[in-house]
Formats: sequence, C-alpha cells, structure tokens
Amino acid sequence: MGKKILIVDDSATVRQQVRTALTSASFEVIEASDGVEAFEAIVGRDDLAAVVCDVNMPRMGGLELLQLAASKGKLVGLPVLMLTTEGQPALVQKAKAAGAKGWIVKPFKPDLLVAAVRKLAEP
Amino acid sequence: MRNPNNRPIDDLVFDCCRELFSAYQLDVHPRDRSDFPATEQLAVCGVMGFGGKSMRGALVLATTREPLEHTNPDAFGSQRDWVCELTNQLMGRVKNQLLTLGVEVMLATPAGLSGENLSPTPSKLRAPQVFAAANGFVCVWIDCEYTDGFELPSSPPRGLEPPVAEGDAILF
Repeated sequence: MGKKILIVDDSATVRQQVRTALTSASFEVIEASDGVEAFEAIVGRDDLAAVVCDVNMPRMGGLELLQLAASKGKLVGLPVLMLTTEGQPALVQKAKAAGAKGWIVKPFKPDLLVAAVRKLAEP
Repeated sequence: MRNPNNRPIDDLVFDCCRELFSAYQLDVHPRDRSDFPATEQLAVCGVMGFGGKSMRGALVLATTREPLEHTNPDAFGSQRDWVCELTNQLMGRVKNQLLTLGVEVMLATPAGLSGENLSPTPSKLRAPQVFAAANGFVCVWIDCEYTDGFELPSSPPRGLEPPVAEGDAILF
C-alpha cells in the first residue's frame, strides 16, 4: 500500500491531474474540494502522509486551513505542500509561518510535484 | 475617455494568455478583435474578480470547445471546471506580473458561465483580445477601474521581492 496523500483543490480537473501524477508514483490519494472538507479529513484520519493544498478555495482557503490545523496540533508530522496560482512572497511567508513545507505555482510539472511530495512524505 | 492604464494592462493580459496556453502546449495566435466568434460558438466563460488598493475588476476568459479539449488534462473532465481553472491560472499570472510592478490585488475564486444564450457584450472601449487556437478561438478581456491618480508603473520598484514563478517549486 502506498502512502496516503490528501489533495485539496476546488477544481475537480486539478484534483484529477494531481491524482494521476501521484498514483502513477505509487501513492494513494484521497480528495477534498475545500478547506472545510480537508480539515474533516485531517482530523478524522491518522493515515495521511502529506497534504497537497490549493490556496484560494470557497468556504475555507488553504491558508486558513493551515492555521486552523496548526492551532489544533494537527500538522505535527503532516507536511503540507501548497499548490496554487499565487506566487506572492507575502503569502508564501504566511504559509511557511503557519507550517507549510513547500510551495508550487501552477501550472505544475507532474514530475516536479511527485519529487516534492516524495521528499516531504518519504523523508 | 480611455484610461491610460488600460493599454499596458491589456498588453500584460495578452502576454499572460499566450504564456498560459503555451504551458499547455497550445500556441495561440492573435486575431483582429472583429474576429470575435459568434456567441453561440463559445463553449463556456470563466470569470474571476479581483481587487486591491489601486485597481479592481474582473477577468473574463471565453473559449470555443477546441482549445478546452486540447488543453484539458482530464479528457473526460468538465469543460466548465477546466475553464474556471484556466481563468484562475491566467489571473494568477496577471497578479504575479502586477506584483513585479509593485501593484497588489487579491483574488476571488473563479466562476463559470455557460448556456445557449450566453452573450457577452464587451465594451467598445475594452474589447476582448481574440486568439485563434486549435481550430477554435480564445477570447480574453479584463474590465477594471482604477483609484484616482493611479498610474501603472512601467518598471519594478527597487528592492521588491519577485513572486514565485509559474512552475517553480520551493521546499521550506
């Protein structure tokens, strides 16, 4: 069984794109379409190896998710990689301060994403 | 009266649109604005709002079916979802280019519009930019208003930290 990665993005197409990249590298994936669903998955599961998370999403964005999960102690041992169209240094710093471990700007190259997830999920 | 910021913003959107589709291995070629396709040919529109201290507005991306099919990484995926994501990625590029000039905007989430009677009526002052692509058309336009006295800088301010580039990965 591969390590489980939570993909969080409001675009079903992006989730599918990330799923294809990660499953071809032998990861298992589960999906959430916004920060609310993702938080439920993070709280309700203990088998996640990493999270790949968008920033701008309805209901709850990626930075809010990071801050909420960190405040509940749920990011201990759970690396989060942000995958977003945003490249603003202030947002990158905010994510880092909240506990994110990486940042990729879309559109992404599948091999680059897989390499980053490997490094975080299989240290 | 046409705002002097419109031209450089349109040029920026033009470049970002070409770069975005190029990243998905689709060359888009500029066409005359009068080539705007009949509205019934448009498969779907993506719309994304933005706002900041200096400017606010919306970016619209409308395409015929072919460019969406050519670029969609999920062959069986929703065209509506994909045009929303393309609009998101286009607006992300525009935002990053604005950031290099010291102009900051915040982004909303994208919305898709589709329907048999979809009929965008662009302003004569802010006509869409039209590209031929994959036997179809891509049309993009940005509609924005500016804070009084705002002038888009023509070069980056000194000491400004550049945004993370598209496709780049940073591990902390």
